[in-house]
Amino acid sequence: MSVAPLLFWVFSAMVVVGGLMAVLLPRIVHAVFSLLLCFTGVAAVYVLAGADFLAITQIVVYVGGVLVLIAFGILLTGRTSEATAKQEARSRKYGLAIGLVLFFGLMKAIGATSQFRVEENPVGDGTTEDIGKLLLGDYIIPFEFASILLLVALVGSAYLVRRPKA
Amino acid sequence: MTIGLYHYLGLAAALFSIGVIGVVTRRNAIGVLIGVELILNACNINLVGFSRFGGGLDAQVFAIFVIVLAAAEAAVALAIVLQIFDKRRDIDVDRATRLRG
Repeated sequence: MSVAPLLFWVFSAMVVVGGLMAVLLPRIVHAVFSLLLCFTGVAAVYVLAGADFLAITQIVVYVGGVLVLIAFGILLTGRTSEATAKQEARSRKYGLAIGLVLFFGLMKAIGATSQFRVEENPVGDGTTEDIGKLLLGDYIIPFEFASILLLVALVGSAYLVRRPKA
Repeated sequence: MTIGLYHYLGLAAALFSIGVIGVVTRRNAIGVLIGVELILNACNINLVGFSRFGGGLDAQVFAIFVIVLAAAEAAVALAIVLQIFDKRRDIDVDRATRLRG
């Protein structure tokens, strides 16, 4: 028996536990550190699925970029106020109920579908070269639009956070 | 036992539900943003699962575009959050009602 299925379960547990802690911990700083656990677990799941380029992208963009951005956001906005924390604690059990219902509904829907192909694709020598060819070949137009979107987001967020001159 | 497509779909469903819990329970705007990031990650796990089982590499290209969108969204959302905090000293999404009709 190979070790890959076991690893999948370990990393899935990492993703789920990290995610749950990220949404349930009262202190938002703790939530960010659990989010680190969750994102790293997702990258590991990508590796197990043979998506090596995507795993690296996940670590660079999410762990290195989005998480640091969120951490800066927390540093600049301070801690959750008393009233907000109380409101969050009140709505937590309803949120959990909603999440459980949603999860079991989704699992039922997934279980009811049978038309998915389930043969596993062989894992090649890595996906980077092929993804590069796809991005600059079939997907060149979306690729260029994505770069324009990033530029707009960059300029837009810099404009949004400016302080108007008094 | 081997890991099949349904394991990936189940993991993605779990992460999506967790993200929804975050979005509906958090009142801190950054907490809501964390929930949205979890939902986008769940979507990517789905895409990677389909790429492994029958889909081919196109699914992974889609996942890359999702990551690009998530990064842009996080940057703009944090800019808005910082500006709200600057005006109100508070980022409770329930009390940010200036634009409510």
